[in-house]
Amino acid sequence: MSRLPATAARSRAPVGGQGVDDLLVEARVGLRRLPPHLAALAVSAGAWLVDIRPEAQRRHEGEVPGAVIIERNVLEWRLDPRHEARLTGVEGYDTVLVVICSEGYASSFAAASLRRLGHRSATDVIGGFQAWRSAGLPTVGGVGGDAVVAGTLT
Amino acid sequence: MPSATAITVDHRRAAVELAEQLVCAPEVWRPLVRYLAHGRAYAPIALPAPVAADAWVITWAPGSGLPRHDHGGAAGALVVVEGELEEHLGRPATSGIGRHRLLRPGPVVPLAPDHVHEVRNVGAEPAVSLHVYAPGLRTMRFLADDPRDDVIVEDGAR
Repeated sequence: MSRLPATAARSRAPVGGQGVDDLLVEARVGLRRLPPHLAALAVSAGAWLVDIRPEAQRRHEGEVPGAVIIERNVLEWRLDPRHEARLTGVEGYDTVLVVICSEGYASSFAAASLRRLGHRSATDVIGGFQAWRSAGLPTVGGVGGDAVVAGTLT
Repeated sequence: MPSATAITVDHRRAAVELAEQLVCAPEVWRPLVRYLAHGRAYAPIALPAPVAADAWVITWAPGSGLPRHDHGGAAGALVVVEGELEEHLGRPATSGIGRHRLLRPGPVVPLAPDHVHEVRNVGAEPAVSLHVYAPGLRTMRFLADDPRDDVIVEDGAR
């Protein structure tokens, strides 16, 4: 896919169209994000660590033992207590949801969406799985090296 | 669903992380600071739901202090955000032995679960400090008159 130079792309953005960096700043407003050890502390107190990474990335990087795996494309349905496609155990809004992705960007969008569903204290892990592992917190599996998801390197 | 027991939590590192976040968020604790002519003013800092810890902001008038104590086995973190505090480690300050250090605004000081100390504001200006305990501060034991003074071995003095 050919990419326009950034300046040309910006000049063609419709009025009101925001860059993803701006959207991220917006998503993080009011989000009390957690560094890895604080996230682990939250989990020990009953929070769910929700891993939204795609399967290929989890296999490559490894996983957090005990995390609830819900890929991003089904996240809202699985965690909406009002929806029939919710996970077993999602019966209300009392459980704190802490979203983790690979590096802590996509997880902020996911957490913002969960807050709009009614999970008012939903948040995410600063630095994602990479920071979790670097902090020496437990992981399982993974084959090491950088994850390569076909066709998405830019 | 999730098995929380799969993760062993390093409470001290979690406390340090929280203290570092609080240092960067003065809007959370600054309104709680109360300057007194004498003694210390404590205020609990309200933390959002995901954070399973206790945090306090303490304002220390010049000359005020807290006698030698532990934290009931809780790990913690301490950071001075204004003024200076003197921390005596291990033995009572009056014993003339044991170590002390001056804490100033700067890095967060981790406190091991068995940390025993005495803290004083020996300066002429008020001091303000943030205190974090994980998983929470249940009790503090004051050890000033404890006959076991000589056997308490403090972190770092081993």
